[in-house]
Amino acid sequence: MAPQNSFGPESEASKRGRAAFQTIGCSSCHGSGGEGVSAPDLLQSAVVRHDICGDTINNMITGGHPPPNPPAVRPAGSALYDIADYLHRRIDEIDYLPQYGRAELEHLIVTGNAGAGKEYFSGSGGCSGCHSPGGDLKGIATRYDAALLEARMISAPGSKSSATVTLPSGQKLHGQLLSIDTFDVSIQDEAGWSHTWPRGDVTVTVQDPAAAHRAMILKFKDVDVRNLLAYLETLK
Amino acid sequence: MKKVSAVFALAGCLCAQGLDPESLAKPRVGEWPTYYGDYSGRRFSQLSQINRSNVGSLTLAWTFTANPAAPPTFEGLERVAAAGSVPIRVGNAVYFTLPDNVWAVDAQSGRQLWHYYRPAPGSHSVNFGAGMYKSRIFFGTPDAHVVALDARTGKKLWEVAVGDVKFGEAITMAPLIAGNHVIVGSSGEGADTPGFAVALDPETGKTQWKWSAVPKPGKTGSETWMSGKSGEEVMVHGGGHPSMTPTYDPDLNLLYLGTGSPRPTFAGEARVGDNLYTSSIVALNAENGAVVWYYQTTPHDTHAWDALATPVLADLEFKGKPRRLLLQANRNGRLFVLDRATGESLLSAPYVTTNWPNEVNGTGQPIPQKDREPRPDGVLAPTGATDSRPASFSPNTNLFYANTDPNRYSIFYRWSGSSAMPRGRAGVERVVSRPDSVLVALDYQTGRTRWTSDAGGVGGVLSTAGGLVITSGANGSVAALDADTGKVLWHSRMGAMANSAITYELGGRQYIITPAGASLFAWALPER
Repeated sequence: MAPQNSFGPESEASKRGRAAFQTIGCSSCHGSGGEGVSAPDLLQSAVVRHDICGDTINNMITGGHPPPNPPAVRPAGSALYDIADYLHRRIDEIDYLPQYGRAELEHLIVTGNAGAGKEYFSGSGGCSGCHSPGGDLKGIATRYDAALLEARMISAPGSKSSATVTLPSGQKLHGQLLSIDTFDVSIQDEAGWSHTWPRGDVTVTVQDPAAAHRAMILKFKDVDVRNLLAYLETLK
Repeated sequence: MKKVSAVFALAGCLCAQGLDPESLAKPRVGEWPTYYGDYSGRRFSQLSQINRSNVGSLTLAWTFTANPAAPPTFEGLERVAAAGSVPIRVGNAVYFTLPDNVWAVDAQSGRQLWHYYRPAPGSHSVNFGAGMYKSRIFFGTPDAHVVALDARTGKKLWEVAVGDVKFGEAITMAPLIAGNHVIVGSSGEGADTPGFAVALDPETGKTQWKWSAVPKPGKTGSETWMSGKSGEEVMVHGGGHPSMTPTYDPDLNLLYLGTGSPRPTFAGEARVGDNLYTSSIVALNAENGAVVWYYQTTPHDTHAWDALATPVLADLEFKGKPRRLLLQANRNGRLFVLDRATGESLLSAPYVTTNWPNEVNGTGQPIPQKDREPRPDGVLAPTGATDSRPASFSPNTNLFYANTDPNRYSIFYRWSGSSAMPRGRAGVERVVSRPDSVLVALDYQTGRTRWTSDAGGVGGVLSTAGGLVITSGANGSVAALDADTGKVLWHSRMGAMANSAITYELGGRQYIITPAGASLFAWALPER
């Protein structure tokens, strides 16, 4: 099996195999993509999955497949190897469908009503309290594809929290929050230096610009998400 | 004569290093001979040398850093190093795995005893650990083999293929040894095939029985898939891989497996019905693999919620009556309590809040909601409240401890359906909310949360008779908490994503081992 990250452009051999698979007639029984119709699914076939450069497929063909009645054309020579390449390509496509389907995803997720989304933005969604279509969101739809825009709309990833740390002496330090957990808090000061304290030694106030987004998660209805995305997609 | 006696004494000592499977039926106090420490999955230790009063002085006894024999050939080293292995300890050795690799390490010093390396194709995302039978160590491989090693030398005794790597199948779980059966289940992260469990002869590797998580057409359970040709076609894919180590009741001779979610994962309309035995807790007869009972935690699962969380076994009172219980904090956000002899549902209670109604039927199973199934334009739904990080149950506090992911949400997209027969995941899940994970302590009779701690959340949980809960947390931290209250009593940092702790006693000293990245950290009280 090919590693997941090797899934790249289709080879010339696979393209020839794709055509030969149809013209020779394999597709009439095995389906146009090898997924099986009246004859078995080649993408879930042990013969095909264990094939290396056409070896087991060749054995199958020379062993009398497809049956001679009705008369069938059997792939031979380079056509057989091209078809083997094509079938391995098809297996990679179905095994690693998330990558394969991404292009499909981008075109299909914007199904909401932009007008209703605009109303939600400035009404019950409360988005306009922090954002404006002519300000920070100007051209937002040109900066992110629809799927990424939808995810960012919900979670506001990458928004940086800041923190004010009060030391036992009463001195306050403010900076970008680097890390906070049960045990320690770390901030980066304006000069770029990092500082860490045990949580028990200091008082910390965190300013999190994404807090409002997180609070929305339990309130969002799917229709709101779709409408809001449709509206943001108009901000080109 | 003196010399002969010494030889006999030595021979006796060497024999004690092996693991008689019958001895596992009784708790082996002080050892950690299986993935969960015993058959019950409680991850509870009777050891109490390290306890509430002294855990604050815990110190590092040794560390061991695994050094894989060769750079992994197939996927990145980073993924291998982030493995989720839990060590076992029998005799003087700790046995620890990464994909393709097994190490034996001296349990008192951390010195390497041997290393076995077997490069394989397939997904190297994780290997959960090893199992032991007498003087043999067993582990699974990315190319779906089970390998038996001599526990003294690391020399290979046999290996057998139990699945097909060309279909994406792998064995990632720590094998379970029940009687004279080596039990493994398939892992199908990249596989579009029906899951399975097999029992192998520990001496020869010969298959004793094989159970399929998806029934053959016409067999019991197949009626929960669509009828006719389309139903048969989808069952060839099926899913339901039982990829985590089962628990086992030697008295009932039942194995308890959690199964994975069905395939095609996000295309519910291609597999109308409940889709047995996916996303289920299944009790199998250990002798022949026959289904004795099952309980489907998510009928017709369309969000990959599965049932892979540990099925914990405990004998407890439930509503005033002593019962043989099975407890599971499921990924769908509910705590399930079952009678483990019969599968009777005793409790189904949410332990997290979600953004949709939590309707259940008369036996506590969530009712599938058509309008919540993944769509081409997405549905916002809980990602899953936990996963296969093993939980813990303490018979001293009667609390169920689980590391959980509250308020984690994803958008579930289903591909538009250009193909008549959707395959594989048939969509994609994008996580859009990922707040910090937390440890929860649940009352097993109500599912209510007794306390939570954000010092936890990462890896599995360990509880001990010393009144402690050991867990990992954010930023490579490890902490010991008061098992009654959740108060942090000790913590340290290991500099890497941490995993489930184990504990054992050797030479009069209790050790707590915390795996992190590709290293083991051994903690103990200071030597006097």
